[in-house]
Amino acid sequence: MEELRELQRSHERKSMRIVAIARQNWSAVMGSGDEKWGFLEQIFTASLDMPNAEDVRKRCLQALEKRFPNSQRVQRLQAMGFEADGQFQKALDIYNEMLEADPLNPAILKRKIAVHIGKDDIPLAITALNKYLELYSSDFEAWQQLTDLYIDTQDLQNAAFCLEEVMLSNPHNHVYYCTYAEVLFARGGSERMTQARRYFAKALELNPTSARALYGLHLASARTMTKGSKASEDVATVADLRDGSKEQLLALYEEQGANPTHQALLPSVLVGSGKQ
Amino acid sequence: MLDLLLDPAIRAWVVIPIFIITFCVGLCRHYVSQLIASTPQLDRDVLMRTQLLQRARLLRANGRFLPAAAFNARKQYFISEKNGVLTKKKEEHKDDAPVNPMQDPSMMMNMVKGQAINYVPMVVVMSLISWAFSGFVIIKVPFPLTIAFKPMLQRGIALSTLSASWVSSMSFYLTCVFGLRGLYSLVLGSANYVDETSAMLQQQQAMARQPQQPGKLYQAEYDALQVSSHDWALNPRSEDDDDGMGFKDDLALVEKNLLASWQ
Repeated sequence: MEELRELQRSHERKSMRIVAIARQNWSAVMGSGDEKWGFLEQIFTASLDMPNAEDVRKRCLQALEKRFPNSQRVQRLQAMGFEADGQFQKALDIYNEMLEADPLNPAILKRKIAVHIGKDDIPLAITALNKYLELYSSDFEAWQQLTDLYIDTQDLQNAAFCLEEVMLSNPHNHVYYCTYAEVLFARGGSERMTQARRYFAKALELNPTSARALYGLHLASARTMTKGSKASEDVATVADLRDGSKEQLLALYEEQGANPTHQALLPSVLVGSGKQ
Repeated sequence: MLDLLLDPAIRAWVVIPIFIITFCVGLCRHYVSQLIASTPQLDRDVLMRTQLLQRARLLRANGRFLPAAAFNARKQYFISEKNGVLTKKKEEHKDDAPVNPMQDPSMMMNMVKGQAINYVPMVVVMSLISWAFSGFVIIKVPFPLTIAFKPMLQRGIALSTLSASWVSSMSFYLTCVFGLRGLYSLVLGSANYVDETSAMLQQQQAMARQPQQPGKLYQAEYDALQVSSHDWALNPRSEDDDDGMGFKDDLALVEKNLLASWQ
Protein backbone atom coordinates (compact mmCIF):
# COMPACT_ATOMS: atom_id res chain seq x y z
CA MET A 1 0.00 0.00 0.00
CA GLU A 2 2.83 2.30 0.88
CA GLU A 3 4.34 1.71 -2.53
CA LEU A 4 1.06 2.52 -4.26
CA ARG A 5 0.89 5.76 -2.34
CA GLU A 6 4.45 6.57 -3.30
CA LEU A 7 3.79 5.90 -6.98
CA GLN A 8 0.65 7.98 -6.84
CA ARG A 9 2.62 10.89 -5.54
CA SER A 10 5.43 10.60 -8.04
CA HIS A 11 3.13 9.98 -11.02
CA GLU A 12 5.39 7.25 -12.26
CA ARG A 13 4.01 5.05 -14.94
CA LYS A 14 4.98 1.68 -13.55
CA SER A 15 1.81 0.03 -14.66
CA MET A 16 3.08 -3.51 -14.34
CA ARG A 17 4.07 -2.98 -10.75
CA ILE A 18 0.83 -1.24 -9.85
CA VAL A 19 -1.32 -3.99 -11.29
CA ALA A 20 0.80 -6.62 -9.58
CA ILE A 21 0.41 -4.90 -6.23
CA ALA A 22 -3.30 -4.56 -6.78
CA ARG A 23 -3.69 -8.26 -7.60
CA GLN A 24 -1.82 -9.30 -4.51
CA ASN A 25 -3.38 -6.91 -2.05
CA TRP A 26 -6.86 -6.48 -3.43
CA SER A 27 -8.54 -6.81 -0.06
CA ALA A 28 -6.17 -4.27 1.46
CA VAL A 29 -6.99 -1.82 -1.32
CA MET A 30 -10.71 -2.25 -0.81
CA GLY A 31 -10.33 -1.82 2.91
CA SER A 32 -8.38 1.41 2.84
CA GLY A 33 -11.20 3.82 3.59
CA ASP A 34 -11.51 7.02 1.62
CA GLU A 35 -8.09 6.60 0.13
CA LYS A 36 -9.48 3.62 -1.74
CA TRP A 37 -10.99 5.69 -4.56
CA GLY A 38 -7.70 7.27 -5.48
CA PHE A 39 -6.08 3.86 -5.50
CA LEU A 40 -8.81 2.43 -7.66
CA GLU A 41 -8.39 5.19 -10.21
CA GLN A 42 -4.66 4.65 -10.21
CA ILE A 43 -5.00 0.90 -10.62
CA PHE A 44 -7.55 1.35 -13.36
CA THR A 45 -5.34 3.63 -15.46
CA ALA A 46 -2.42 1.31 -14.87
CA SER A 47 -4.39 -1.71 -15.99
CA LEU A 48 -5.16 0.07 -19.26
CA ASP A 49 -1.50 -0.29 -20.11
CA MET A 50 -1.48 -4.00 -19.42
CA PRO A 51 -2.72 -6.89 -21.44
CA ASN A 52 -4.71 -9.50 -19.52
CA ALA A 53 -5.74 -7.04 -16.85
CA GLU A 54 -9.41 -6.86 -17.78
CA ASP A 55 -10.44 -8.47 -14.51
CA VAL A 56 -8.73 -5.79 -12.45
CA ARG A 57 -10.13 -3.10 -14.68
CA LYS A 58 -13.65 -4.34 -14.38
CA ARG A 59 -13.45 -4.59 -10.62
CA CYS A 60 -12.10 -1.05 -10.28
CA LEU A 61 -14.68 0.46 -12.56
CA GLN A 62 -17.56 -1.36 -10.91
CA ALA A 63 -16.54 -0.18 -7.47
CA LEU A 64 -16.07 3.38 -8.65
CA GLU A 65 -19.34 3.48 -10.56
CA LYS A 66 -21.19 2.18 -7.57
CA ARG A 67 -19.78 4.87 -5.34
CA PHE A 68 -19.87 7.81 -7.78
CA PRO A 69 -22.69 7.11 -10.23
CA ASN A 70 -22.64 10.46 -12.04
CA SER A 71 -19.06 11.47 -11.67
CA GLN A 72 -17.26 13.02 -14.64
CA ARG A 73 -14.06 11.49 -13.53
CA VAL A 74 -15.48 7.97 -13.55
CA GLN A 75 -17.09 8.63 -16.91
CA ARG A 76 -13.72 9.64 -18.23
CA LEU A 77 -12.19 6.44 -16.92
CA GLN A 78 -14.91 4.44 -18.57
CA ALA A 79 -14.25 6.16 -21.87
CA MET A 80 -10.54 5.51 -21.46
CA GLY A 81 -11.42 1.86 -21.08
CA PHE A 82 -13.26 1.99 -24.39
CA GLU A 83 -10.24 3.64 -25.94
CA ALA A 84 -7.99 0.88 -24.71
CA ASP A 85 -10.31 -1.68 -26.25
CA GLY A 86 -10.25 0.16 -29.55
CA GLN A 87 -13.88 1.23 -29.34
CA PHE A 88 -13.02 4.77 -30.28
CA GLN A 89 -16.47 5.87 -31.35
CA LYS A 90 -17.97 4.97 -27.99
CA ALA A 91 -15.21 6.86 -26.21
CA LEU A 92 -15.66 9.89 -28.45
CA ASP A 93 -19.40 9.94 -27.78
CA ILE A 94 -18.76 10.07 -24.06
CA TYR A 95 -16.17 12.81 -24.41
CA ASN A 96 -18.37 14.92 -26.64
CA GLU A 97 -21.21 14.64 -24.18
CA MET A 98 -18.93 15.71 -21.35
CA LEU A 99 -17.57 18.62 -23.34
CA GLU A 100 -21.07 19.94 -23.84
CA ALA A 101 -21.33 20.36 -20.11
CA ASP A 102 -17.86 21.83 -19.74
CA PRO A 103 -16.38 22.95 -23.06
CA LEU A 104 -13.08 24.10 -21.56
CA ASN A 105 -12.15 20.98 -19.66
CA PRO A 106 -8.50 20.44 -20.60
CA ALA A 107 -8.41 16.80 -19.58
CA ILE A 108 -11.29 15.86 -21.86
CA LEU A 109 -9.95 17.92 -24.75
CA LYS A 110 -6.68 16.06 -24.43
CA ARG A 111 -8.43 12.70 -24.26
CA LYS A 112 -10.14 13.51 -27.55
CA ILE A 113 -6.79 14.25 -29.14
CA ALA A 114 -5.53 10.98 -27.75
CA VAL A 115 -8.43 9.21 -29.45
CA HIS A 116 -7.42 10.71 -32.76
CA ILE A 117 -3.85 9.61 -32.24
CA GLY A 118 -5.04 6.16 -31.22
CA LYS A 119 -7.05 5.94 -34.41
CA ASP A 120 -3.90 6.93 -36.29
CA ASP A 121 -5.72 9.92 -37.69
CA ILE A 122 -2.73 12.22 -37.41
CA PRO A 123 -4.01 15.19 -39.45
CA LEU A 124 -7.14 15.36 -37.33
CA ALA A 125 -5.08 15.05 -34.17
CA ILE A 126 -2.88 17.92 -35.31
CA THR A 127 -5.87 20.16 -35.97
CA ALA A 128 -7.41 19.29 -32.65
CA LEU A 129 -4.18 19.85 -30.81
CA ASN A 130 -3.72 23.21 -32.47
CA LYS A 131 -7.20 24.21 -31.35
CA TYR A 132 -6.39 23.07 -27.86
CA LEU A 133 -3.19 25.08 -27.84
CA GLU A 134 -5.07 28.19 -28.87
CA LEU A 135 -6.77 27.93 -25.50
CA TYR A 136 -4.00 26.53 -23.38
CA SER A 137 -1.04 28.07 -25.09
CA SER A 138 1.35 27.51 -22.23
CA ASP A 139 0.78 23.79 -21.88
CA PHE A 140 4.20 22.69 -22.96
CA GLU A 141 3.43 18.99 -22.78
CA ALA A 142 0.87 19.58 -25.49
CA TRP A 143 3.50 21.40 -27.52
CA GLN A 144 5.72 18.40 -27.08
CA GLN A 145 3.01 16.08 -28.32
CA LEU A 146 2.44 18.33 -31.31
CA THR A 147 6.15 18.22 -32.06
CA ASP A 148 6.04 14.45 -32.20
CA LEU A 149 3.07 14.53 -34.50
CA TYR A 150 4.73 17.01 -36.83
CA ILE A 151 7.91 14.96 -36.90
CA ASP A 152 5.81 11.92 -37.74
CA THR A 153 4.37 13.74 -40.71
CA GLN A 154 7.78 15.12 -41.72
CA ASP A 155 6.57 18.66 -41.22
CA LEU A 156 9.87 19.83 -39.84
CA GLN A 157 9.23 23.55 -40.01
CA ASN A 158 6.24 23.30 -37.73
CA ALA A 159 8.00 20.79 -35.57
CA ALA A 160 10.79 23.27 -35.06
CA PHE A 161 8.30 25.91 -34.03
CA CYS A 162 6.72 23.63 -31.46
CA LEU A 163 10.09 22.59 -30.13
CA GLU A 164 10.99 26.22 -29.66
CA GLU A 165 7.94 26.60 -27.47
CA VAL A 166 8.97 23.55 -25.47
CA MET A 167 12.47 24.92 -25.06
CA LEU A 168 11.09 28.22 -23.85
CA SER A 169 9.25 26.42 -21.13
CA ASN A 170 12.31 24.61 -19.88
CA PRO A 171 15.67 25.78 -21.20
CA HIS A 172 17.61 23.30 -19.11
CA ASN A 173 16.52 20.04 -20.65
CA HIS A 174 19.12 18.52 -22.92
CA VAL A 175 16.62 16.31 -24.74
CA TYR A 176 14.81 19.32 -26.14
CA TYR A 177 18.03 20.86 -27.38
CA CYS A 178 19.11 17.62 -28.96
CA THR A 179 15.79 17.11 -30.72
CA TYR A 180 15.73 20.69 -31.86
CA ALA A 181 19.24 20.37 -33.25
CA GLU A 182 18.21 17.22 -35.07
CA VAL A 183 15.28 18.99 -36.63
CA LEU A 184 17.51 21.85 -37.71
CA PHE A 185 20.00 19.37 -39.07
CA ALA A 186 17.34 17.53 -41.01
CA ARG A 187 16.06 20.75 -42.54
CA GLY A 188 19.51 21.54 -43.81
CA GLY A 189 21.04 24.79 -45.02
CA SER A 190 24.37 26.14 -43.89
CA GLU A 191 23.06 28.56 -41.31
CA ARG A 192 20.79 25.96 -39.77
CA MET A 193 23.65 23.51 -39.76
CA THR A 194 25.72 25.88 -37.68
CA GLN A 195 22.81 26.40 -35.35
CA ALA A 196 22.31 22.67 -35.13
CA ARG A 197 25.94 22.26 -34.18
CA ARG A 198 25.61 24.79 -31.41
CA TYR A 199 22.48 23.20 -30.04
CA PHE A 200 24.10 19.79 -30.09
CA ALA A 201 26.99 21.30 -28.17
CA LYS A 202 24.55 22.84 -25.71
CA ALA A 203 22.83 19.51 -25.22
CA LEU A 204 26.17 17.89 -24.57
CA GLU A 205 27.06 20.53 -22.07
CA LEU A 206 23.94 19.66 -20.13
CA ASN A 207 24.41 15.93 -20.49
CA PRO A 208 27.98 14.99 -21.42
CA THR A 209 27.25 11.30 -22.01
CA SER A 210 24.51 11.61 -24.56
CA ALA A 211 25.57 9.46 -27.51
CA ARG A 212 22.73 10.87 -29.56
CA ALA A 213 24.03 14.40 -29.17
CA LEU A 214 27.60 13.26 -29.79
CA TYR A 215 26.65 11.70 -33.09
CA GLY A 216 24.73 14.82 -33.96
CA LEU A 217 27.58 17.10 -33.06
CA HIS A 218 29.99 14.97 -35.04
CA LEU A 219 27.85 14.94 -38.15
CA ALA A 220 26.93 18.59 -37.90
CA SER A 221 30.50 19.76 -37.49
CA ALA A 222 31.67 17.50 -40.31
CA ARG A 223 28.92 18.91 -42.48
CA THR A 224 29.66 22.54 -41.64
CA MET A 225 33.29 21.94 -42.55
CA THR A 226 32.65 20.39 -45.92
CA LYS A 227 30.02 22.97 -46.71
CA GLY A 228 32.79 25.51 -47.06
CA SER A 229 32.33 27.43 -43.90
CA LYS A 230 32.41 31.17 -43.89
CA ALA A 231 35.61 33.00 -43.14
CA SER A 232 34.24 34.27 -39.88
CA GLU A 233 33.81 30.76 -38.63
CA ASP A 234 36.58 29.36 -36.64
CA VAL A 235 37.63 26.42 -38.80
CA ALA A 236 39.97 25.04 -36.23
CA THR A 237 37.29 24.98 -33.56
CA VAL A 238 34.92 23.13 -35.81
CA ALA A 239 37.56 20.57 -36.70
CA ASP A 240 38.32 20.16 -33.03
CA LEU A 241 34.66 19.65 -32.33
CA ARG A 242 34.40 17.02 -35.01
CA ASP A 243 37.43 15.09 -33.83
CA GLY A 244 36.62 15.60 -30.18
CA SER A 245 33.12 14.24 -30.57
CA LYS A 246 34.54 11.23 -32.37
CA GLU A 247 36.96 10.53 -29.57
CA GLN A 248 34.23 10.99 -27.02
CA LEU A 249 32.01 8.56 -28.85
CA LEU A 250 34.73 5.93 -29.01
CA ALA A 251 35.48 6.42 -25.34
CA LEU A 252 31.81 6.21 -24.48
CA TYR A 253 31.39 2.93 -26.33
CA GLU A 254 34.48 1.59 -24.65
CA GLU A 255 33.27 2.62 -21.26
CA GLN A 256 29.80 1.17 -21.66
CA GLY A 257 31.29 -2.11 -22.81
CA ALA A 258 29.49 -2.18 -26.11
CA ASN A 259 29.51 -5.10 -28.47
CA PRO A 260 33.07 -5.35 -29.94
CA THR A 261 31.83 -5.58 -33.49
CA HIS A 262 29.95 -2.35 -33.01
CA GLN A 263 33.06 -0.75 -31.59
CA ALA A 264 35.08 -1.92 -34.57
CA LEU A 265 32.50 -0.52 -36.95
CA LEU A 266 32.37 2.86 -35.32
CA PRO A 267 35.49 4.48 -36.82
CA SER A 268 34.33 3.67 -40.33
CA VAL A 269 31.00 5.35 -39.71
CA LEU A 270 32.52 8.49 -38.32
CA VAL A 271 34.31 10.98 -40.49
CA GLY A 272 38.09 10.61 -40.34
CA SER A 273 40.15 13.13 -38.51
CA GLY A 274 43.35 12.89 -40.56
CA LYS A 275 42.22 15.19 -43.34
CA GLN A 276 42.54 18.96 -43.34
CA MET B 1 -3.46 30.60 49.37
CA LEU B 2 -6.18 28.02 49.48
CA ASP B 3 -6.86 26.15 46.31
CA LEU B 4 -10.27 26.08 44.77
CA LEU B 5 -11.97 22.75 44.65
CA LEU B 6 -14.16 22.15 41.59
CA ASP B 7 -17.25 20.02 41.60
CA PRO B 8 -16.59 16.81 39.62
CA ALA B 9 -19.97 17.34 37.98
CA ILE B 10 -18.41 20.29 36.19
CA ARG B 11 -16.10 17.91 34.40
CA ALA B 12 -18.90 15.59 33.39
CA TRP B 13 -21.48 18.21 32.47
CA VAL B 14 -19.42 21.16 31.27
CA VAL B 15 -15.94 20.31 30.07
CA ILE B 16 -16.80 17.18 28.12
CA PRO B 17 -20.01 18.60 26.59
CA ILE B 18 -18.17 21.70 25.40
CA PHE B 19 -15.56 19.53 23.83
CA ILE B 20 -18.12 17.33 22.11
CA ILE B 21 -20.23 20.27 20.95
CA THR B 22 -17.24 21.98 19.42
CA PHE B 23 -16.14 18.83 17.69
CA CYS B 24 -19.57 18.06 16.27
CA VAL B 25 -20.05 21.62 15.06
CA GLY B 26 -16.70 21.35 13.28
CA LEU B 27 -17.79 18.12 11.64
CA CYS B 28 -21.05 19.65 10.49
CA ARG B 29 -19.20 22.63 9.12
CA HIS B 30 -16.98 20.35 7.12
CA TYR B 31 -19.87 18.52 5.52
CA VAL B 32 -21.94 21.63 4.91
CA SER B 33 -19.11 23.40 3.17
CA GLN B 34 -18.52 20.29 1.14
CA LEU B 35 -22.16 20.40 0.13
CA ILE B 36 -22.31 24.00 -0.95
CA ALA B 37 -18.79 24.38 -2.26
CA SER B 38 -19.03 25.37 -5.90
CA THR B 39 -16.31 24.46 -8.32
CA PRO B 40 -14.93 27.61 -9.85
CA GLN B 41 -16.01 27.93 -13.44
CA LEU B 42 -13.27 28.71 -15.88
CA ASP B 43 -13.84 31.81 -17.86
CA ARG B 44 -12.59 31.57 -21.40
CA ASP B 45 -11.27 35.13 -21.42
CA VAL B 46 -9.44 34.83 -18.14
CA LEU B 47 -8.00 31.51 -19.16
CA MET B 48 -6.68 32.80 -22.44
CA ARG B 49 -5.31 35.88 -20.78
CA THR B 50 -3.28 34.04 -18.20
CA GLN B 51 -1.99 31.59 -20.76
CA LEU B 52 -1.05 34.33 -23.19
CA LEU B 53 0.71 36.40 -20.58
CA GLN B 54 2.56 33.42 -19.28
CA ARG B 55 3.79 32.59 -22.74
CA ALA B 56 4.98 36.12 -23.32
CA ARG B 57 6.78 36.06 -20.01
CA LEU B 58 8.52 32.82 -20.88
CA LEU B 59 9.61 34.29 -24.16
CA ARG B 60 11.17 37.21 -22.38
CA ALA B 61 12.87 35.02 -19.82
CA ASN B 62 14.16 32.24 -22.03
CA GLY B 63 14.06 33.78 -25.48
CA ARG B 64 17.81 33.90 -25.65
CA PHE B 65 17.92 30.15 -26.09
CA LEU B 66 16.12 30.38 -29.42
CA PRO B 67 17.64 31.35 -32.74
CA ALA B 68 17.16 35.00 -33.59
CA ALA B 69 14.64 34.35 -36.34
CA ALA B 70 12.44 32.29 -34.06
CA PHE B 71 12.62 34.87 -31.30
CA ASN B 72 11.75 37.73 -33.58
CA ALA B 73 8.87 35.84 -35.15
CA ARG B 74 7.39 35.34 -31.72
CA LYS B 75 8.02 38.91 -30.72
CA GLN B 76 6.22 40.07 -33.82
CA TYR B 77 3.36 37.72 -33.05
CA PHE B 78 2.95 39.34 -29.68
CA ILE B 79 3.61 43.02 -30.29
CA SER B 80 3.69 43.90 -33.98
CA GLU B 81 2.10 47.26 -34.75
CA LYS B 82 -0.79 46.01 -36.84
CA ASN B 83 -1.93 42.72 -35.46
CA GLY B 84 0.23 41.66 -32.58
CA VAL B 85 -1.81 39.74 -30.07
CA LEU B 86 -0.76 41.91 -27.17
CA THR B 87 -1.17 45.08 -29.20
CA LYS B 88 -4.76 44.20 -29.96
CA LYS B 89 -5.61 43.07 -26.47
CA LYS B 90 -4.04 46.15 -25.03
CA GLU B 91 -6.25 48.36 -27.18
CA GLU B 92 -9.34 46.30 -26.48
CA HIS B 93 -8.94 46.41 -22.76
CA LYS B 94 -7.61 49.92 -22.52
CA ASP B 95 -10.70 51.38 -20.97
CA ASP B 96 -11.78 48.41 -18.91
CA ALA B 97 -12.64 49.45 -15.45
CA PRO B 98 -10.58 47.70 -12.86
CA VAL B 99 -12.26 44.48 -11.96
CA ASN B 100 -13.18 44.58 -8.35
CA PRO B 101 -13.57 41.12 -6.90
CA MET B 102 -16.26 42.52 -4.64
CA GLN B 103 -18.42 43.27 -7.67
CA ASP B 104 -18.11 39.85 -9.15
CA PRO B 105 -21.31 38.20 -7.97
CA SER B 106 -20.06 34.63 -7.96
CA MET B 107 -16.96 35.66 -6.08
CA MET B 108 -19.07 37.58 -3.64
CA MET B 109 -21.37 34.62 -3.19
CA ASN B 110 -18.47 32.32 -2.43
CA MET B 111 -17.12 34.67 0.13
CA VAL B 112 -20.46 35.12 1.82
CA LYS B 113 -20.92 31.37 1.94
CA GLY B 114 -17.50 30.87 3.43
CA GLN B 115 -18.05 33.55 6.02
CA ALA B 116 -21.48 32.27 6.92
CA ILE B 117 -20.24 28.76 7.44
CA ASN B 118 -17.38 29.94 9.53
CA TYR B 119 -19.01 32.51 11.70
CA VAL B 120 -22.68 31.70 12.08
CA PRO B 121 -22.15 28.44 13.99
CA MET B 122 -19.37 30.02 15.95
CA VAL B 123 -21.56 32.86 17.14
CA VAL B 124 -24.49 30.57 17.85
CA VAL B 125 -22.44 28.10 19.85
CA MET B 126 -20.66 30.87 21.66
CA SER B 127 -23.87 32.46 22.81
CA LEU B 128 -25.21 29.04 23.74
CA ILE B 129 -22.20 28.32 25.87
CA SER B 130 -22.12 31.68 27.52
CA TRP B 131 -25.81 31.30 28.26
CA ALA B 132 -25.51 27.79 29.68
CA PHE B 133 -22.14 27.66 31.31
CA SER B 134 -21.18 31.17 32.27
CA GLY B 135 -20.10 32.46 35.59
CA PHE B 136 -17.69 29.82 36.82
CA VAL B 137 -14.28 28.40 36.07
CA ILE B 138 -14.12 24.90 34.72
CA ILE B 139 -10.50 23.82 34.49
CA LYS B 140 -7.12 24.87 35.69
CA VAL B 141 -4.03 24.82 33.55
CA PRO B 142 -1.27 22.98 35.39
CA PHE B 143 1.20 25.84 35.38
CA PRO B 144 1.23 29.37 36.71
CA LEU B 145 0.49 32.19 34.32
CA THR B 146 0.99 35.93 34.52
CA ILE B 147 -1.84 38.32 34.99
CA ALA B 148 -1.79 39.24 31.30
CA PHE B 149 -3.47 35.97 30.46
CA LYS B 150 -6.48 36.73 32.54
CA PRO B 151 -8.63 38.40 29.88
CA MET B 152 -7.78 35.57 27.52
CA LEU B 153 -8.46 32.65 29.80
CA GLN B 154 -11.15 34.03 32.04
CA ARG B 155 -13.56 35.62 29.69
CA GLY B 156 -16.84 36.25 31.39
CA ILE B 157 -15.40 36.21 34.88
CA ALA B 158 -14.38 39.48 36.46
CA LEU B 159 -12.51 38.38 39.52
CA SER B 160 -9.33 40.32 40.03
CA THR B 161 -7.91 38.05 42.70
CA LEU B 162 -8.44 34.74 40.91
CA SER B 163 -5.22 33.09 39.74
CA ALA B 164 -4.72 33.33 35.99
CA SER B 165 -4.41 29.57 35.69
CA TRP B 166 -8.14 29.08 35.93
CA VAL B 167 -10.00 28.86 32.66
CA SER B 168 -13.59 29.87 32.11
CA SER B 169 -16.01 27.99 29.88
CA MET B 170 -15.99 30.62 27.16
CA SER B 171 -12.23 30.57 26.89
CA PHE B 172 -12.21 26.81 26.94
CA TYR B 173 -14.61 26.81 24.02
CA LEU B 174 -12.39 29.13 22.03
CA THR B 175 -9.36 27.01 22.82
CA CYS B 176 -11.23 23.98 21.55
CA VAL B 177 -12.25 25.70 18.32
CA PHE B 178 -8.69 26.50 17.43
CA GLY B 179 -7.05 23.52 19.04
CA LEU B 180 -9.04 20.74 17.46
CA ARG B 181 -7.43 21.15 14.06
CA GLY B 182 -5.16 18.16 14.55
CA LEU B 183 -8.06 15.98 15.57
CA TYR B 184 -10.07 17.03 12.51
CA SER B 185 -7.29 16.23 10.14
CA LEU B 186 -7.06 12.85 11.83
CA VAL B 187 -10.77 12.20 11.44
CA LEU B 188 -11.54 13.88 8.13
CA GLY B 189 -8.29 13.55 6.26
CA SER B 190 -5.91 16.37 5.61
CA ALA B 191 -8.02 18.21 3.05
CA ASN B 192 -10.83 19.25 5.32
CA TYR B 193 -12.80 22.42 5.23
CA VAL B 194 -12.62 23.07 8.93
CA ASP B 195 -9.21 24.55 8.84
CA GLU B 196 -9.92 28.23 8.74
CA THR B 197 -6.40 29.37 8.11
CA SER B 198 -6.20 27.45 4.88
CA ALA B 199 -9.60 28.77 3.83
CA MET B 200 -8.46 32.29 4.48
CA LEU B 201 -5.26 31.70 2.61
CA GLN B 202 -7.19 30.43 -0.36
CA GLN B 203 -9.40 33.47 -0.32
CA GLN B 204 -6.43 35.75 -0.30
CA GLN B 205 -4.83 33.87 -3.12
CA ALA B 206 -8.02 34.05 -5.14
CA MET B 207 -8.06 37.78 -4.62
CA ALA B 208 -4.46 38.15 -5.59
CA ARG B 209 -5.02 36.04 -8.66
CA GLN B 210 -7.95 38.11 -9.76
CA PRO B 211 -6.19 40.59 -11.97
CA GLN B 212 -7.29 44.05 -11.16
CA GLN B 213 -7.17 45.48 -14.63
CA PRO B 214 -6.59 43.35 -17.70
CA GLY B 215 -5.64 46.31 -19.87
CA LYS B 216 -2.85 47.23 -17.50
CA LEU B 217 -1.49 43.70 -17.52
CA TYR B 218 -1.39 43.60 -21.29
CA GLN B 219 0.21 47.00 -21.40
CA ALA B 220 2.92 45.98 -18.97
CA GLU B 221 3.73 42.82 -20.85
CA TYR B 222 3.69 44.73 -24.13
CA ASP B 223 6.16 47.27 -22.84
CA ALA B 224 8.43 44.67 -21.35
CA LEU B 225 8.50 42.67 -24.54
CA GLN B 226 9.13 45.73 -26.62
CA VAL B 227 12.34 46.57 -24.86
CA SER B 228 13.57 43.00 -24.73
CA SER B 229 16.03 42.27 -27.45
CA HIS B 230 17.41 39.03 -28.66
CA ASP B 231 20.83 38.05 -27.45
CA TRP B 232 21.44 34.54 -28.57
CA ALA B 233 22.86 32.52 -25.77
CA LEU B 234 24.77 30.24 -28.06
CA ASN B 235 26.55 32.91 -30.04
CA PRO B 236 30.30 32.94 -29.78
CA ARG B 237 31.18 36.21 -28.19
CA SER B 238 34.66 37.52 -27.67
CA GLU B 239 35.75 37.53 -24.10
CA ASP B 240 36.32 41.27 -23.87
CA ASP B 241 32.61 41.82 -24.48
CA ASP B 242 32.05 40.26 -21.18
CA ASP B 243 31.04 42.71 -18.53
CA GLY B 244 32.29 40.54 -15.75
CA MET B 245 28.79 39.48 -14.79
CA GLY B 246 28.06 35.79 -14.61
CA PHE B 247 30.72 34.67 -16.96
CA LYS B 248 30.14 31.08 -16.00
CA ASP B 249 26.50 31.26 -16.95
CA ASP B 250 27.30 32.70 -20.32
CA LEU B 251 26.32 30.06 -22.79
CA ALA B 252 27.95 31.86 -25.65
CA LEU B 253 31.10 29.85 -25.33
CA VAL B 254 29.32 26.57 -25.20
CA GLU B 255 31.37 24.98 -27.96
CA LYS B 256 34.67 26.17 -26.58
CA ASN B 257 33.74 25.08 -23.11
CA LEU B 258 32.84 21.70 -24.41
CA LEU B 259 36.17 21.36 -26.12
CA ALA B 260 37.94 22.45 -22.99
CA SER B 261 36.13 19.85 -20.94
CA TRP B 262 37.23 17.14 -23.35
CA GLN B 263 40.86 17.99 -23.04
